[in-house]
Amino acid sequence: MPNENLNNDFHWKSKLEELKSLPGETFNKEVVWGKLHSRLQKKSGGKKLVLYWIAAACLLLAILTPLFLSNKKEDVLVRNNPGQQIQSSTSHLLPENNKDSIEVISSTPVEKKSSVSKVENGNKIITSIDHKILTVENISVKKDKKEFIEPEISNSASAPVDNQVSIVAIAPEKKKLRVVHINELGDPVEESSAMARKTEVHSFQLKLARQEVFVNPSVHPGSTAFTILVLKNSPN
Amino acid sequence: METLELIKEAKQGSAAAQKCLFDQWAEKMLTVCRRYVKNAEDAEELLLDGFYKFFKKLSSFKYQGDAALYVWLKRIMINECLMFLRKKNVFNIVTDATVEEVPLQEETLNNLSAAEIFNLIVQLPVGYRTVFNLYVIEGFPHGEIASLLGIAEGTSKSQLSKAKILLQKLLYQNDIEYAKRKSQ
Repeated sequence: MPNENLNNDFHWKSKLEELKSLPGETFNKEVVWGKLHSRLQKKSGGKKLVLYWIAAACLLLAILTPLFLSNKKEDVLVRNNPGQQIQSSTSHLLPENNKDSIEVISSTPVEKKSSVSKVENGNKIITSIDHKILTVENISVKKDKKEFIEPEISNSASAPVDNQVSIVAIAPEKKKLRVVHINELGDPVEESSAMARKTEVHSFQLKLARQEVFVNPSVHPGSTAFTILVLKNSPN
Repeated sequence: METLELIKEAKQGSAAAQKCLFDQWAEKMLTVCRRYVKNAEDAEELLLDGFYKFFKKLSSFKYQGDAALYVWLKRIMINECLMFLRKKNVFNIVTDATVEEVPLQEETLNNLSAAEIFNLIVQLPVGYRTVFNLYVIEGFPHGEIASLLGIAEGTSKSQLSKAKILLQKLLYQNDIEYAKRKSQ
């Protein structure tokens, strides 16, 4: 380079550092400072606002998370359903729209033995829904015994919103037997011993070991002699 | 108030201290910006951005004298200017002005004031001016200049040589004027 010494010989830097302000130009410091100051204030305020929004979002999340989780628990139970057989055996007992709830119920295996015993011990009217009763008991076990659901079936149609309880509500209503007081039956008809014997003799019909027994009509009803029995083989 | 005190208070967010620091350095920094960016409005905007970053990063700054503060502040301003120029993509459209070789008259350079030298530099095309500023005045090596501007090292060297040639020509013209003024 022919003129490389331009950089070395002359001290450009020191010369320029003498320059304190721009030549022939006015610089309004106050205006620029005003802009800068407003920007500094604005940015810090904006940051605060963002922080407030983040805090609000966190709070909302904290409130909503338990709600979502409680809903999700039920979904998980439905997905992890191992008791398919029991589900199929019990599903016919409930209407179509309640099959989901049955799935929930059958997530824990139900012993058939216990259902039988339940039938034996329980009310005859509710024998057709014995599975449901059992499954209700199972739910109470599944929920870590947190809530106790009585094995008795609630008859109220307006059952609580809870899933398990609604299953109970679906069960057919227990038929209430009409309580009849003994006075309503009236006085018993007094029959003579002879009259009673007469009706017994005429209506007596037995079926014993595939043989039908008929009373011989030729026998006098009033006689106390031996009754002749005619045996006839039953077609069954 | 001393600069150290001002910096301490500015770190705590004192607007008064920030204003004092701004008043102290604004004009000097504006000359730095104007050396890189010809347009006065752009230079002011860059000054504003530079000071904004300066105050934001002030918490990480350790005061070791006014010279260190000046260097740091100047570096922020230069970075702002280079970012601005890169955004405008000026380094790809550098005009390859053909200039004659003019013999350097060192006496002329010595006779020039700081303002005249400033005006000479500002007259250079943006590519030449940027490389000249970075190499001759700021003292960056060509490798660093190349990485800063996103150009090849050879390009930086050639830009510098062309800038010097053009500057010599301008100096020669200035010398004529100076001679004329002297004779009058």
